[in-house]
Amino acid sequence: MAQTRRFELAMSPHVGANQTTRKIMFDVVIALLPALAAATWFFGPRALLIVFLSAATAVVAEFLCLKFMKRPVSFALDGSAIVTGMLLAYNLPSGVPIWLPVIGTAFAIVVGKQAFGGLGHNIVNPALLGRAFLMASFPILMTAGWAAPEAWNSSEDISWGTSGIAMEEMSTIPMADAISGATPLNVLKQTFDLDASAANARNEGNTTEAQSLEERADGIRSALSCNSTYMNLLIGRSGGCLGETSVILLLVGAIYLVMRGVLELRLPVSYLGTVAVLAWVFGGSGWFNGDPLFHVLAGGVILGGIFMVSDMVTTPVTPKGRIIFGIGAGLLTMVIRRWGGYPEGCSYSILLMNLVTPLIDKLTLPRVFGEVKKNG
Amino acid sequence: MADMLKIGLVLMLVALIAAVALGFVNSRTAPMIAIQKELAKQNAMTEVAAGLSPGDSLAFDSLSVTSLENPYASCDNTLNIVRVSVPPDTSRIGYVFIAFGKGYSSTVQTMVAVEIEGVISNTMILYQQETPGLGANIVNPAKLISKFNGLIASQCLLSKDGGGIDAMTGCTITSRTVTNSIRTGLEAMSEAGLFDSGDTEGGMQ
Amino acid sequence: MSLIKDFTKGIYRENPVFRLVLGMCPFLAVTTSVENALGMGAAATFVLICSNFLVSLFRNIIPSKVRIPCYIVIIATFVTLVDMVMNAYLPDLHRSLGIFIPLIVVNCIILGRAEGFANRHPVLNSIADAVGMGIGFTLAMVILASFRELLGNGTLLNINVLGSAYQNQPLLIAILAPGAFILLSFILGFFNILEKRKGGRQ
Repeated sequence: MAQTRRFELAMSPHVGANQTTRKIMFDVVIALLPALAAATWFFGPRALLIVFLSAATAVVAEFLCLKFMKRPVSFALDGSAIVTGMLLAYNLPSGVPIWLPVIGTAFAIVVGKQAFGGLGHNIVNPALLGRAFLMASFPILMTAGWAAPEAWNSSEDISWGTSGIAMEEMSTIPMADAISGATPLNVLKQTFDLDASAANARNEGNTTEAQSLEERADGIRSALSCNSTYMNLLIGRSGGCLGETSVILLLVGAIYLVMRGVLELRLPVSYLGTVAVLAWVFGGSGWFNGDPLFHVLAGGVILGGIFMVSDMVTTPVTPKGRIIFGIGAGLLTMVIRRWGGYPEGCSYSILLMNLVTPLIDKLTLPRVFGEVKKNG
Repeated sequence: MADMLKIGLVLMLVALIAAVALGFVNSRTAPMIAIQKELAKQNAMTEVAAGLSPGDSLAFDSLSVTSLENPYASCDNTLNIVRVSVPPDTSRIGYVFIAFGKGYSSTVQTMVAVEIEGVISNTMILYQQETPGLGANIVNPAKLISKFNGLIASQCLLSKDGGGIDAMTGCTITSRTVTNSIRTGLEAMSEAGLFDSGDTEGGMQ
Repeated sequence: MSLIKDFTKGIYRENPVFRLVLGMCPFLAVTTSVENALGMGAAATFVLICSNFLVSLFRNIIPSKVRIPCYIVIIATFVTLVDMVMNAYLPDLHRSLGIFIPLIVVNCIILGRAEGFANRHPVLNSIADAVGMGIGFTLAMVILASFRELLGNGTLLNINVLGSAYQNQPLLIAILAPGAFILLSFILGFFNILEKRKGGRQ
């Protein structure tokens, strides 16, 4: 089964491009670095350790898999494993035990990538599969214990907590204790629960209780939609996964990728656009009164939109297909956020759309030049 | 034609033998199954109600209450209340009922023993098919249901809903359904006048 | 000699799960613990022996045009018997196997052996085949269930093996549905490698 060196054969015409897998992947790594700086600033050196462990595990797992399958081990250094490892780490809470990124990344590489034949053959994004694996295996570790930003180097009480809501706004919310330790999207989810309880109370004829519940939900919602909260979310001063919080630094990475010609804007723009529009349609308490800005800034949609929706292997290749993919993923994200069991639906929406990518490609395949449309 | 007849006869014969065999075994096992079910229920009731009168053997009589609302209609079940007494004395010392609530992936059944004043004495999960490792941990009393002991109906509320009970980490839905099913059951009993510190055994036969 | 061969082939060479990939529904669904796997294996083996015995006994009487309905009636009868007896005498096991007992009726291993073996072989061979296949099925389920119970719950046959520290934070996915599929793929891959190595030597 020794790998023999073969000549690459392909039909003409050929276009020479200066891009190689390695170059693209290292551009992605560079684009991920600003967000890593933010993670280290807000969540402490531990964030750095988790990202490093994850990336290192990815390379080692890739190396072992290639060795086992008797394929050239140099593939392990093409950068794609490092990207997978870093992205998985960016999807973890900062407080996870250090073995968690190790087994998550090992699973992502071994089952999500190499079992399907390595880079270019995996059907779903390996980093997201690793996250789904960890969510199913260690739900409590993955969804509890969000660290407050900057808590690691501050001895005093962390005024902004994990919710991203500024302290002066916190004091206006009745029973603010209930939302301590929750991420911005968790807090939003709680307002939906409060709405449901209020509706129940109203049905039972308990108007005063219903009113106090509604007041609480509205108070939290207005605190989430104020400028100081937007600012916290923009710079990353809120609880959440390591790499998802600092929107501004993720966007710096995105600009770099666009300049390098690696990031094609159709996917992220259609994805984030759909999220924003649907956030306005049903992301709030009723219809057509949601807060698109909050929904785009909170949670992982910026990280997902830049680095995962645009994954080259697992998303459609046709321009039309890419827009369909972005819209589908945005729709699923918002449906999960509003009605699902989890506060955030970014990763599952992308995984689900990954699975239908071949179908989208098939449906949107352009006609060959000169081909006559059937029944046209 | 003769072929058809033969085929039909063989099929009939096979079905007949099967029916006889099944009927025979059913007649043998049906009473046993009923006994097992009753035994399981008795054991559960004895266990859950033990705290009402420690050390005594208890008697259980099902109670039919006319003015009882059914809080479990949405789970296609009814609120059945069992009256507990210590023989030979026939006066009640408490009640046992099963609370039904739609959880994350199943209808969770919780058996509740309650004192005549409406204070919860003990609870026990009878049936659940929640997510293993998460909601399924509800069977472990220390995780949630032991916190109900000593509470009255209005105190059975999760802290997320404005009450004082902390939900199990990562499984709010299961915690909430159990808490609410117990509360609605107790409220229905209280409205039917079953809880009374006086000596009237309101509403019962 | 052929009796022994009919018996042993079900255990490895024609293992119903790993080599024929039959009976996947109960195989994936009830392997959350070794205890369940053993109970399901025993029940399926019992039904398999009874149905193979009867199908083989009446193989010259049952007209081939209606053989499938006859097999289904025979299998369904035995499954219902097992269901009732288990409910009466082993209520705990019955509760944990739940819906999967009635589903033995549509377990393709049983209909597959009736159709593929028992209806053209003598009674003794058919029984040997049923015992072998039953043991093969049970063995396969126990293998998967051991991995799932050990990884997902830290126990084997309800005995704590990996310690309470592990039990607080087990690899939960192993006892959830996706874990069954992932582990099955690993096991099938392992057997394929084994088979390939063997093929290479010959």
